[in-house]
Amino acid sequence: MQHNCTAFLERNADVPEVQSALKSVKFLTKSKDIFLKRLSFEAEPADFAKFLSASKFNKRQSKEEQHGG
Amino acid sequence: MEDEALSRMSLTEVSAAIAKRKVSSQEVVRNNLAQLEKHGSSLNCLARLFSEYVWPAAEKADQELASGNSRGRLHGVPLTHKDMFYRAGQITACGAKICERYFPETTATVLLNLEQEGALDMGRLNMVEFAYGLTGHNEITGDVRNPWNPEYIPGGSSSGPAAAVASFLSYGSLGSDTGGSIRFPASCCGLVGMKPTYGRVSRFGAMPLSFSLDHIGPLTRSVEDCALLTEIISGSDPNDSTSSSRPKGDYLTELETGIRGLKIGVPTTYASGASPFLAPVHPEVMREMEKSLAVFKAAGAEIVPLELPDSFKICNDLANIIAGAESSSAHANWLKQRAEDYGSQTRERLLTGFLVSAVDYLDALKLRKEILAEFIRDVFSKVDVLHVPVVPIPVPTLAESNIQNNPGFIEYLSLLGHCTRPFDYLGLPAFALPAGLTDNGMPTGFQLTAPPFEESVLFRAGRAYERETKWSFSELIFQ
Repeated sequence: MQHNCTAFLERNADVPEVQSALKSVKFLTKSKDIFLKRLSFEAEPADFAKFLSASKFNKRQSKEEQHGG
Repeated sequence: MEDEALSRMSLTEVSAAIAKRKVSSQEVVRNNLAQLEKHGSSLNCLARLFSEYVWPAAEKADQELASGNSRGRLHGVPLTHKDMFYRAGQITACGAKICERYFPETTATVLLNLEQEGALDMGRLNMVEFAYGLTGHNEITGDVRNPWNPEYIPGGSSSGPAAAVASFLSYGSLGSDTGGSIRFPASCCGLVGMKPTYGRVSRFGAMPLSFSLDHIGPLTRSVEDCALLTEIISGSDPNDSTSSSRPKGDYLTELETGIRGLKIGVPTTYASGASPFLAPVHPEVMREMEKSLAVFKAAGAEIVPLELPDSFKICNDLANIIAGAESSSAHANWLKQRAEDYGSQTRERLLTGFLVSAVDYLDALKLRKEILAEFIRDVFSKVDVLHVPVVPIPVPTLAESNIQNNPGFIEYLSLLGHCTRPFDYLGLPAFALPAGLTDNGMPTGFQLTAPPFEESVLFRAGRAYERETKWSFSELIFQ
């Protein structure tokens, strides 16, 4: 499917909507690449959910630590 | 009770009136059905009614109350929702031709949660095709119109819910938010809208668009109504592996406790005329933002200027990478077999996703935790909530924002969600509230965001703002 779609977009490269889509994706990935150096080798997508889920517990924990509890 | 007075009640008011048997569930349903049939078509907000389902349910609700039995806080109250929540055996069309005869076999968890509290499911409201767009245009089912002025967009993709709730045709409605689709229409129609923390509300039985970014939440006319609905639909769900195991939120207990000492962060870049977003915010919108901050200050909050981390700006791009890849994957089969059945704008957006490489997609997902950690550290270590706009420009007309007639608007189109999309990417709770009117006489709103699972502080702040402004939706001027 991706191959077909890419071929379709290449064939229609002079259509404004296709130009816009290509430009858009190129821009998005370029923007992302600037921040890529922040990622460690071990980083994985599931880290987000784990961090999100644990955030309040961390906050509580740090308060307890501050109060020596 | 007069029909108009009944329609203009808030969700909590009508629930209380039914519970005290001042009005029957059947009277409320009759009035609501009549209003929807009378006004729903002029706004094009109504997809379909479940008349055959809701009448016996209302009759049963009245009988139960007469016997002294109440199911819960929404006993006998009819609600209509965005046309993307599955009810077994009832069509869920998702604003699309492709699904016009789709009969789901399951019922959405959020609908079951509402039913447990006694709510009646009365029908479905129009939406942007497959929820992929923020303006409210739909080439398949027609454009929904804004009740404040039918020439203007209602915002999307929860366009029908926003139009129906704002015009008193629904006491509240569930929508979805992948890039701003609850908050954006709430802002365009002068409503309250909550996008809860990622994982707070189950998405089981709701049409998927982008599973890493999809959120479900309510649009209502008051903060209390929004808190009530969010509380009811929140909680873990074994059918949704992304739902959080945290206990359900309690958003009503502390609703009236005020915000004295609450620290509200405001990005410093505004002062220099710049923006923490991809583009500047329109001066008329900024003017209303300032007014809302003055209200918070008067209510006892401390306004704290602060700098947002650099990485915040790329959240939009990263969200677009994820949404592109995931939505294209979800629609791959239909795009192969029934591409001509999509509206041209939806098809074009979906095709773009096929250009995203697997590496770019995974990078965007992996960066999420890093950027969220940085955001929490730099923002929420200093303030309790962050205050930013919802829609960066005054609400545009349907004509000027239709890129088929006005191709030049495409430049704006990509920027419309730049104040809302970052919070879908970060998974943070974000609460949209009405600010005031821009010079075209249309509403504009602001949003407050908080640390993960801190919806409670958002409702408390929203309620303090609502009380301070003595804002009453029924007093707003619209036709």
